[in-house]
Amino acid sequence: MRKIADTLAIPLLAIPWILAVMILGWFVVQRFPPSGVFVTTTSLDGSNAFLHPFLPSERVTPPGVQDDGWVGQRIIGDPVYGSARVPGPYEHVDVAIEFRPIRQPLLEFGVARDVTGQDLDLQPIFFEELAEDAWTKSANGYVSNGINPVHLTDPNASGIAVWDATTTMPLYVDDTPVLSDIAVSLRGAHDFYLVPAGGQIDVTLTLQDANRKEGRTVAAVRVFRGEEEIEWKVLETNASQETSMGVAFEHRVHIEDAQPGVYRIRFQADDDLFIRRIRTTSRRWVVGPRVNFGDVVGYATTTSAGVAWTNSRHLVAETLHREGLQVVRLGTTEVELSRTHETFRLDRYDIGSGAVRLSAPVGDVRLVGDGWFALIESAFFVPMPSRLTDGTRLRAEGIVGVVTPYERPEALGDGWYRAQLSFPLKGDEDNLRLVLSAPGIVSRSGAVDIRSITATYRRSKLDFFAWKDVIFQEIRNAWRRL
Amino acid sequence: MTITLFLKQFLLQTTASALVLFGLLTIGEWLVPGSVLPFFDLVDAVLPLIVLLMTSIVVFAKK
Repeated sequence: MRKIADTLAIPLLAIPWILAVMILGWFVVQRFPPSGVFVTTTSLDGSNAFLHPFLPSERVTPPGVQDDGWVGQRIIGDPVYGSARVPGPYEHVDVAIEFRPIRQPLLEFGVARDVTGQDLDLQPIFFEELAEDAWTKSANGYVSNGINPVHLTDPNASGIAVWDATTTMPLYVDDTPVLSDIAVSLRGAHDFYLVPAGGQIDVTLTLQDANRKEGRTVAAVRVFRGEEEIEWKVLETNASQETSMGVAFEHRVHIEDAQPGVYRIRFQADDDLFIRRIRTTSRRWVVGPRVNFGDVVGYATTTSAGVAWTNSRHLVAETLHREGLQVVRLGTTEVELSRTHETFRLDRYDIGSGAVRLSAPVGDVRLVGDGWFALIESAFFVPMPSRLTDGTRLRAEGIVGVVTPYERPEALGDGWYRAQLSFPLKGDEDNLRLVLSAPGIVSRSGAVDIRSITATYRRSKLDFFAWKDVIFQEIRNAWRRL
Repeated sequence: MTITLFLKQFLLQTTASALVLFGLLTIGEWLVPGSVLPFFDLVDAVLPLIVLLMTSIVVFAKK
């Protein structure tokens, strides 16, 4: 019988184990690449395990080959969400996206930082008008040719818009306080901007829990000076079992020795909580960019009109109730809210940047604008430049500068662009929820074609100790998941 | 070592190492979702593993 020498047999028998160790090592290296870089690319054909196509299906076309032959996905609604499987603990992810906007002037792309998708980290990727040569890139944004870029950092400058950026706070102050006491019916969360008067901020909100949903209602009142948070308080209604309208109660925000500037009171609550009255000593105060004139069902027997003065040039209005169907007027333009749960646009392109009257005769309408709303005409002021929106026409509106981190995307020809973005990661994410926002895309019958997304996950190069830290981080993540 | 014995041993070692590797990868995917499946679908390995296992059982059950 033929034999094989033991000196040869033993190494040969070890081959399956060596192969197993090598395969295991390959998986470990994929998970913890020594270079600290992991790259994955999808053409949105649904075959990539790390980058998944956009949803919901009624706002996108099926991934893969499209009707006109290209491979990818067409976006026809707003917003749409994709997801990315994070291949381990990384410090940040660079995203390169190739897109083709069709009748869509503004695009933003980002990630949702919370499960509900409320906390969005959106970054600008496209604005049609800024692609023209008439605009010059500077450190803080874009200025019209011939305008000094310093204009963008002047807090009192006019003709400035902001896009996903913050600006220098103007140091406003009023000497003499004037008491304003106004009955309103504002529903849910609102941001109030106030100029200190007489060296103080003094606001009293009368609040009421409508008890339309079960359980108690929690609200937060946060106070900012510029971007700095200086005070916050959590409020809770005690009507956990009640179903009738709750008792109105007051909450006062009083800051003595207020410094010149713009104070922002952020009232965070769900739509169960109404603001019924506002009392303040500030001469100048506004609300925005969102104002929700609530209904008065169960509170008053007559309807309450929503009236404000606003510098908004572009508004969207929506009502959730049949009683809220009405004609909303903004200056000389108007729009009829003819259906519930649908947004209607109001755009004005008149000359001049002053405030105009906005009226919603029966209230019960939520409005989001690119400017601010004063509930008393004399109280109007502009706390910061207006937001750039998809309806903004820079030249027509006299805007000469845009404060923004926006970088023009690289033109690839045939209407295609490539934008590069970077998002920080905490290191414990399993998945990222990607968001593509194309506001107004439905109303203008627009579309956005996406043909490629490349995600490059990065962390520092790994020496032995760094490798150990990353593995520990992965073990901690695994323990958390269990 | 005879060739027959060597081949039997080789089959045994191959089956054992494949089973261990499959177990480790499954545990790895369970502990760290997304560490294995995006690269290799473990379900695809089940049939070859069964074939290997059955072959080993048949071979070693023979006297």
